[in-house]
Amino acid sequence: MNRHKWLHAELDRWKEEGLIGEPQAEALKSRYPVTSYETTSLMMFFAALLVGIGLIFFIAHNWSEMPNLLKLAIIFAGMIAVYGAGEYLRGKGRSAIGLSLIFLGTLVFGAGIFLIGQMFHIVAYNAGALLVWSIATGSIAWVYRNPFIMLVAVVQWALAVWFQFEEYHRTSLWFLLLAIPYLFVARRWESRLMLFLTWIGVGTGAISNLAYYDASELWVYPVLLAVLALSFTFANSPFLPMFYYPLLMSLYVAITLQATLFREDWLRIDPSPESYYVYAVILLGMVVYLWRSQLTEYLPIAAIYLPTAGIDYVEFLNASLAIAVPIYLISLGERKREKSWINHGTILFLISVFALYVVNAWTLIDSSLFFVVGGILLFALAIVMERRRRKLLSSIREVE
Amino acid sequence: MKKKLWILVLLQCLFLLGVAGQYYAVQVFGKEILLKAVPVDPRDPFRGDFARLGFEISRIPAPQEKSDCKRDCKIFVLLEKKGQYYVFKEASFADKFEPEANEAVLVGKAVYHWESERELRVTYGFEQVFVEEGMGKPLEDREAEVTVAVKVWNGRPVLNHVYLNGQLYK
Repeated sequence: MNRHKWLHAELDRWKEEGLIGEPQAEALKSRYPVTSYETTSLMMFFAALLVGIGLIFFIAHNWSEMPNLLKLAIIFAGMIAVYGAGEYLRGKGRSAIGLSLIFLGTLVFGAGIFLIGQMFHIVAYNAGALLVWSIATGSIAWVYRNPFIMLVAVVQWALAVWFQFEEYHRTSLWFLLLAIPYLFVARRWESRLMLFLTWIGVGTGAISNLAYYDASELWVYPVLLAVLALSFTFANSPFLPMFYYPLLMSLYVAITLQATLFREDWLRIDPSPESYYVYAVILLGMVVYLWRSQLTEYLPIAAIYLPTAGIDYVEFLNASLAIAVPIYLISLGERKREKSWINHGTILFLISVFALYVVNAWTLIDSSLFFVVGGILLFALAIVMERRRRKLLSSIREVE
Repeated sequence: MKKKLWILVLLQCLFLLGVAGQYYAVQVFGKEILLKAVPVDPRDPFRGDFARLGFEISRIPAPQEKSDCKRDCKIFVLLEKKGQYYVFKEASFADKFEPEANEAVLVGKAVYHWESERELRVTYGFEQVFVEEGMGKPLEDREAEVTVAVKVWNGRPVLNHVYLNGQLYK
């Protein structure tokens, strides 16, 4: 996010056009500073995130020896100490480390919620707990106007929606209502990523509510495909931006599903023949449309929407598709000089690899080792992919 | 900024205290009842290993009275002490029981309704036991005799202890 960057550009223009003078421009610029993610503060936030996750796992696995009251006391003391230290350091002008400690405070609060759930063996606690956690994190993020903490709050909320679906196979209105403040904040802070994540949460909620009334899980695919088809219809029109997020959301959901959900042993329900007919019609319609509009290069993307359930070697096929389609998106972006395809292709590729890793390695290795290995793997991949992405983007810039 | 932060921190502390306090109250003021359990298995990513338990009182005959409720209905289950354990006596969708000294009332959720068999599946909120990583296995053993001590206060239950073959299980 680059808040107020546009304003700075505008101010420069106004200055050149003589509408305002240098002092006014500078005064306005200092009133609305450009805030963006800086590498070092991001690293500190990730460090806080890792410490927080480590703490939650520590509590989850190792705390049975300690009396409950002592555990609670440690959580309270830890929370107040971390928040206090964060605020103190921020006051001293060390805002990066200060804010990351305040962020750690929100994670300790989350650890506290789950600790209580564990202490009293409370069932069906995840979704509600994540919702409260998200509200707490979101309020802190709002007070400090911090986009990173707000993003974490949005992710917590999206997870709450997902867990509610897992626990109750539907999403309550209360959970979806929280999307409103997050959409509002995303709009106000001009954060496309936040907007996108919130839409993913809303989409998950909407899909889960529909799925609740229909026993088959596979109908989700025609819907996702229809969204893709619809957005292609607007490929060369000014309406495309309206469908940009639903299109991306559809792609992200399809790839994550393909990489995780649709495995042989996870498929409980056979798709009905009708759903295949609906599917075939939409797929065929899209192929014909893309071919006639000479947009055939988009066609391979549709491969991710192939209904593979019930086919031999389904897991291998799905894994290959989940890897191949993002790579195709990157190459498409390279050819068409579309930066967003390269960026999203890169993220999708990372998601695929990570999702495949989660699905296949979770059962094989110890959970703490799982996170360490996963982290290192992701880190290495991110570096390689980032280098490649920057190279591609700079080559595009050179041409421009 | 500072003031706002501390208000939020206070709210967070109050929330944690409130939730923990509710369950502490049940542990302190509640009546302890012993129930026979039947374990199953899974795992929770946030809270480590747990064993999922089923109970004899998880499946009960549906009350005679009519209810419009289709799922997740609040149900009051009256238990009576037979020997060491508490067993099912009567259930109702209305809060009408006044338990004797050898009885207890649990509030549960009727989650599935078999119309023809007139049977309800009820969850009470203490079907999961969280244990240290890798410690859930013995509870999943079908041969094992698992019993739980539950504290009940005003219908609200909290799982207090788990016994495996008569021994307290950590």
